[in-house]
Amino acid sequence: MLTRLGFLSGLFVALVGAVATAQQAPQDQPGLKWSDEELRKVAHHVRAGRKLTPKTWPNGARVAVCLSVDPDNFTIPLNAGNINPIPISAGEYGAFEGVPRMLRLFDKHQIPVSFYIPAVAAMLHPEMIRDIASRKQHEVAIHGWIHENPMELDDPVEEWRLISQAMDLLEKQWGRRPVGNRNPSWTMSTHTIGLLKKAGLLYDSSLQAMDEPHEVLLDGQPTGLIELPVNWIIDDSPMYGPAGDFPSPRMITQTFKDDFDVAYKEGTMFMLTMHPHITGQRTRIGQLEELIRYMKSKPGVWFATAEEIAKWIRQQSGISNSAAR
Amino acid sequence: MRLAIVTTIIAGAVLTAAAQQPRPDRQPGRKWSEEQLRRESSHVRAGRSLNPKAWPNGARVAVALTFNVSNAANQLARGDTAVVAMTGGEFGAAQGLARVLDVLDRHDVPATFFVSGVADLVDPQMVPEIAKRRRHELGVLGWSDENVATLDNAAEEGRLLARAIDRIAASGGRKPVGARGPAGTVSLHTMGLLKKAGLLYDSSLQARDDAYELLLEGQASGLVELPNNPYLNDYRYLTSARTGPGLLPSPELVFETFRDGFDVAYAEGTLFVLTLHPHVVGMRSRITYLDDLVHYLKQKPGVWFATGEQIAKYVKQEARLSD
Repeated sequence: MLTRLGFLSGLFVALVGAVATAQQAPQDQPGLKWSDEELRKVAHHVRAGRKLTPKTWPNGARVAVCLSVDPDNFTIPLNAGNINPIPISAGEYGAFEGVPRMLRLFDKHQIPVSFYIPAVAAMLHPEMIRDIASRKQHEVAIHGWIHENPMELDDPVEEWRLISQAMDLLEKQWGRRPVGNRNPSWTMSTHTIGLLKKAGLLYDSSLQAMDEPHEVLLDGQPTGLIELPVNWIIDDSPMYGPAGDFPSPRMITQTFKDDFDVAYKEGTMFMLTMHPHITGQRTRIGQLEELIRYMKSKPGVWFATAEEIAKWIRQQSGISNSAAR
Repeated sequence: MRLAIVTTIIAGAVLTAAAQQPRPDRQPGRKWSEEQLRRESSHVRAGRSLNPKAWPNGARVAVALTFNVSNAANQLARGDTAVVAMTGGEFGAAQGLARVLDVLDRHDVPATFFVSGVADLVDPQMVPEIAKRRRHELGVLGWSDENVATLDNAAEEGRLLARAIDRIAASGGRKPVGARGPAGTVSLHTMGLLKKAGLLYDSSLQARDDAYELLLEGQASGLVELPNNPYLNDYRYLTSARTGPGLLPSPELVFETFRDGFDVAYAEGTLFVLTLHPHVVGMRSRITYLDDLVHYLKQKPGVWFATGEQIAKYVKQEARLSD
């Protein structure tokens, strides 16, 4: 029976595939038919609103620096149903080696850090949040339930279930309810911003329209949600992750320094995104320390968690998410 | 069970139909005669070099700093509405362009901005910012940074080009005279459409390093080509792997290559066209290298910084090129 079922489902897949190929439209650029109004509606759905860089950072600092860490471990293969031992072990490296090594470095330099943790990673390695929480200086925030792709799901009910579950699990492990979010793989559905607002969050850290803090506009309306933007260029994963297009830690560190230098000159903020199974590797951890030493050598650098930065911005600008409790 | 049998029969029929379709021949050229080979390779070709004996005021080399302002236009053309990816293009309007204009202001050099109609529609504040400098040129980069090669439809391409020209003319206060093929593409129809639209020059092709006249079906066209070299382009190297090809995301090494390209243009006394994107080079870790490069170019004696229009007009006049 199982064999026959397998045979039939194989045929079904082939059938769907053949029909899909036959139906492939010659017009592969549907946007060329859109009217001005349609173009504006799509392009203006989620936009950068007013800049929220404050006149001054705490204690007159010139720039705010947030080092952020996404301990995804093996949630990406697991969510895709890939249970092969090699990707599982490569992700587990983050919990076993990466997080402890990075925590020791942050201890040494007394730097507070934000951790965006997929709930399933926390569930399967509860010692991570225990170790992070014991430092009493770091933040724990949301990074999806299992590093899912909400754009592909495109289902507001399912997305809300995953966000709510993730917040509950992190709250239970950390002892505090998270106030910030970073969407997995930096993908969002068209429902995401509305759901983050409904969850009463203080800030998001997934968008890329600016490199300084700003308010998120949803369909042209201010949301009260603070955006602390990210960028693929100042993220370790595309550069020297497993599929790394430029695996030279030294040159990547130079790029991070160059980015920081302009943030420093412009007096805004620098948000670096790292992963314990990538930057926590022995060949990269020294480069992170080099970057920290470089930034610490400048006067007026405020190292803070994203939560501390967002709270300062809220206080300075008077912005508020009306859904927040 | 009966349903399963029916499904199997239908599936079988569809699969048979699919199998019977002849496979497209992806290497037709191997069967072409000499005449066909000559004809098919000669639709658009490089004609004579238009490099002048001397550049204005005896300058050794002409430099065109060009910027493709596409932002999220190509994504929209493909009907891709991914929220976060769109903010990567929005970056060009929200921060990148201001940084680029600032560098150009500080060095007081002119530049050419090829703008997609849709980029202007989504962020209408950009073109007036460029235009108010009064030094820069506005050219067209298709309607929505579309791929005109796969579109391969002269009527549709002509409609999109006209829509783009009208839009940039209205926003910039002047009808554009130059164009660059959107999404790095041109079709077999493009050059004829540019000529019909009365444009002065194109900047999409790669046959030479210096300015040249375009031959269309073997005939001199009067259209000036200011070549757009793929190796003198930030997009190929400086995007991240997730947002583009990102072949060598070390700004230091990439700008070293740009400098080497300029050095030979300077030695040979021709033309240096550099192609950048505000949403790529406008990032904090890249913008300083652009500043350094302009500084380097300005230190050499005899460098004429000009817009594509100024260069095209000059070479056309020196070569006594007729339309």
